[in-house]
Order: sequence, then C-alpha cells, then structure tokens
Amino acid sequence: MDVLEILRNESQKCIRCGFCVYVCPSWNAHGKLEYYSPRARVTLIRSMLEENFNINDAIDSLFTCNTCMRCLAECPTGINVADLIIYARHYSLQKINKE
Amino acid sequence: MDKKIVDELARAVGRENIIMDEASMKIFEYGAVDSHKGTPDLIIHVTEREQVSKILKIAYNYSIPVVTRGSGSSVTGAVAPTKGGIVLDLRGLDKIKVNIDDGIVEAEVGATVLDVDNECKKYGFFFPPDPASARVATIGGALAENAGGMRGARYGVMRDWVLKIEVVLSDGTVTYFGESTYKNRAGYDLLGLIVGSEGTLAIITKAWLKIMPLPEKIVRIAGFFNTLDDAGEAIFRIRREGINPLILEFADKEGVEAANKVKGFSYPELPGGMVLVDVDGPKNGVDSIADRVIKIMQETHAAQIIRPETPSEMERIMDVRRVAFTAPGRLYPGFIDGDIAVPLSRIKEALIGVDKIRKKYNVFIATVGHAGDGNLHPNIGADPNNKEEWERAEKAAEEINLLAIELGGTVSAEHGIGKLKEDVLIKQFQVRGQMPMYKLMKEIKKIFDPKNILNPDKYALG
Repeated sequence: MDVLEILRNESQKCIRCGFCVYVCPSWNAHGKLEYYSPRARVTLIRSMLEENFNINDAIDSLFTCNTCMRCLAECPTGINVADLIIYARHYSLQKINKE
Repeated sequence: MDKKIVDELARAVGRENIIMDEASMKIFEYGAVDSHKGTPDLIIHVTEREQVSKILKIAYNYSIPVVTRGSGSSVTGAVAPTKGGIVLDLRGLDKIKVNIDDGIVEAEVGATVLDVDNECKKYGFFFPPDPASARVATIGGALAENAGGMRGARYGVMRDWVLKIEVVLSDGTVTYFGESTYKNRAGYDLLGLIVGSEGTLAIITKAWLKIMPLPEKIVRIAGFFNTLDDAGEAIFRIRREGINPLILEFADKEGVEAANKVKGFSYPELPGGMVLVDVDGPKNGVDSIADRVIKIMQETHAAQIIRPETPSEMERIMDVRRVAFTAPGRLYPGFIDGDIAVPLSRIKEALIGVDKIRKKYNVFIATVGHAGDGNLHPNIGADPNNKEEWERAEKAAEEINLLAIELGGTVSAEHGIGKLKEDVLIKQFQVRGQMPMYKLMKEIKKIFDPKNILNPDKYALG
C-alpha cells in the first residue's frame, strides 16, 4: 500500500466530531486555534487528496503535532492520527524534495 | 473581502485574531458533515465577549454574513458558511463560575458542556443536560441547538436549564434575556425564542444555568435483546411502570459491533441491540429501583443483562453507546444524521419501522438514541461518490423523517435543522397545520435580523 492510499483510507474515517481537539496539547498550546488541532490536520490531508490542496501550505500545522496519540484514545472511529501525520510529513518532504 | 473592511475588523479585534489563510478556510468550510459547505471570507478567533459586539456592528454596516461556531460538531450543516462572510470561532470564551448559593453556574459560550459539568462536580453539583458529545459540545452550540442528551429522559433539554443569556443583536447591541432567578415572568419569553434558533436571531455570549446536587448513587444496567420488539417493549415498560430513569438509552446491533471493534470490547451483538439504563437515588433505595428494571428486562426476554459494579466497568459500557453513534462514519465516507422523536408509546413502532426502511433501501443504518424521551438517531452510512448508493441513503433518510411525522413525532429532536432538514421541517409544519407558525417565524427573523446576516441560508428561513 502506498503512502497516498494509507492517507486516503485513514483520513476518510474522520467524522470531524472534534473529540480529538480538546485533548491535543498542540491545540491548547496555540491558544485553541483550530489550525493546530488533529481534526484540522486530517481535514487538510483530505483536502490534499480530494481537492489538490498543497499540503505544504499547511506545513506548520503538520509539524506542530507531537504525535502523543492522545487523540487516538478519544477518536470514536479509531483513527491513529499520529501515524497519519507521520505519513503526511513523509509525503510533504518528498514533495518538497521533488520541487 | 474588501481590505478596508478587514482593516476595520482588525482595528476592532486585533489583527492577530483574524485568520485568512487558505488552509484555515478549508478547515472551517463545514461542521461534522460535508454535504453542506461554503468557504468563509475570514475567520475571527474571539477572545473577549466585547469583540462580538464590535464585529457585528461592522458586519451589520456592510451586510456581511456571520456564522457563529463553537466546536463545529453540528451534523446538520448549521455551521457551514454557505453564503461566505465571517465565521466566529467562540471557543476562546470559556470562563466558568459556579454559584452554589444561588444554584447556578455562569458560563461563557465557548466552555464545553463537560467542563461546566466537571466544574459543578467540584462542589457536589452537576449540570443535567449531557449531549453524548458533551466533551466537545460548547454551551453556546448546545443552547443554539437546544441540545438534550442522555439525561434528557429525566432532565429534558438545554431550555429547561437556562435562566438568562447575554446576547449580541444583529446590529451589535448587547442585551440580556431572562434573569438569574429560578422564576421570572418579566416580559415575553424571548430567552426561549433564542434557545434553539441556531444563530439565526442573535449571538449568545454568556449563559446563567441551573444546577442540581449530585445523586448519592447511580446503578447502571445494560440489557441485550434478540429482537427489536423485545427491546422496544422493555423501553416502553420501564417508562410505563413509573420508573423515572436518569438515562434510558438504546444502541442497535450495528452500533454495538462498531463499539466492540473500535474499543476492543466483546459485548453481545444481538439483533435487538442494547438497552442501557441508569437509575439513581439514595444509597439505601436505589437497588430496589434497579431490581425493578432488571425484572422488566427479564420479562421482556433480555438474552443477557449486565450490571457493572466498578466505575471503569460502568464507563466502558457507556462507551458502547457513545461510540455507536459514529458507526456509519467509521464504515462509510458519507453520513446522514437521523434525529427523530416520537411519543413514548410509539418507540417500538419507530424502531421496527426504521429497520423496515433499512431493508427496503438496503442501506447501512445504525440506530442509537435517547429512547427514554422518544428520541432516536437512525444514522445512515453511504458513499457520496457512489451516486446510486447515496440516492438510496437519501431516500431512506427522507422516509425515516416521514415515519416520525406519521407516528405523531418530529423530524428534529435535538440536533436542529441547519441545511439538512429544511425540506422535512416544512413538510412537518404542513402536515400539522403549522404553516401560520412558520410565517410568524419568518416575520420574527426579519425583526431580529433585518439584513439577514445572522447564519443566513439556514433553518428554512432563506
């Protein structure tokens, strides 16, 4: 399975309920700005896959996740956002290198 | 948006609170469902209540739409900025102050329902309404939708627990509806009008809410059934025989399966699903009430009855009900929210009727709900990219709403109308002879919001 397929399969499980947001240390540390929440990161990954959004325009959102996995414990659909973020970072860096 | 207006807003609320990057626009396009969406012109991260008035004065002057947002967990499209404009993110308003002497809690609207409840618990009290999404649902969102929740079987909805609100009118005027007293007959009940108005009449910035002392003891009982008929009978009899449960919830087989998979549980996955009951009372009296519930479950042929004893076991079984709501989202990329309520005596017919619709359209439906107050959430999962499948899902959703109307119920119990239920809302009004009321609703909207800037294009108000 390639990186994009993994990103697609996992991110489309997100129902954007926001349970992940409140436990996220990154969101709390950034004054409760949605941009720094797990839900936003997953939404942006979906936008990249479905609407050709350039994920590198949201690079600080991706790279401020500290992969603590608190969001996984809260997610009712069981998305491992930390894993997803690591794959997305990998994809993002590959894209930068190509460019 | 014109730079001049952006500069004016920046002077009013601070440029650091104005968000305009493309990524954030994508994030705020919708709530918890993407069937209704729109791109905002800008987002304002509100940090002080006074900012809301300043923003609305400017928005009113330039006739700019304003969509108010808490956690964005609406499942009806209510927070989608379908007409663009400004999205107000109010989660920065999160101060909470408990006042035991007066039996109230004062909360800014960005505080979550769970935070308010937890703050009250420090003093031996609690805040009764508890949407299943309490850990993310904000007080503002819960008031705007008149949310209920699991304890609704006993304690009703947000309207029953709010005494007073601070609001900002569409032209930026700040005023108050209600009083921080348990009784108040001064003036029309405009507070009741605002609660449940989904941000279309005014923006709530603070609320004064009633609280209750914590019960001495809660006993939780879960019954698993072989048929929906038996589960429905158990729900009906628990209410009919005079038991006043704290919660009386239902999750069907699909919901239990989803919870087992996500959480690694192994609760029975039976065709009749799970009925979950909390009873409360004094330590020396609650067991006899629990025994009556167990007896009813036995008499209605429960295949298995579980009475968890430890707090962690109790929490685990509650998680089944919480996670069950999300079952369609886990399995399908698209989700259609169901939120019907029927008279208590018709709950069994509703459960069986939904099951027939599921079979008729061959769609995935996971039904959960606050069965104790007649509220069911038959949530549909389908793939929006599969045109044929999505059409079947939409037809099933419509038929479920028509079933609710036919049974003397309503198409929206606690999730609101938003964009999703505009058509069926009008259908319900037509069937019930309430079109004159609908006309009054539209007139009231014009009085409160003459320029139609407050959450426009929602609630069948245009």
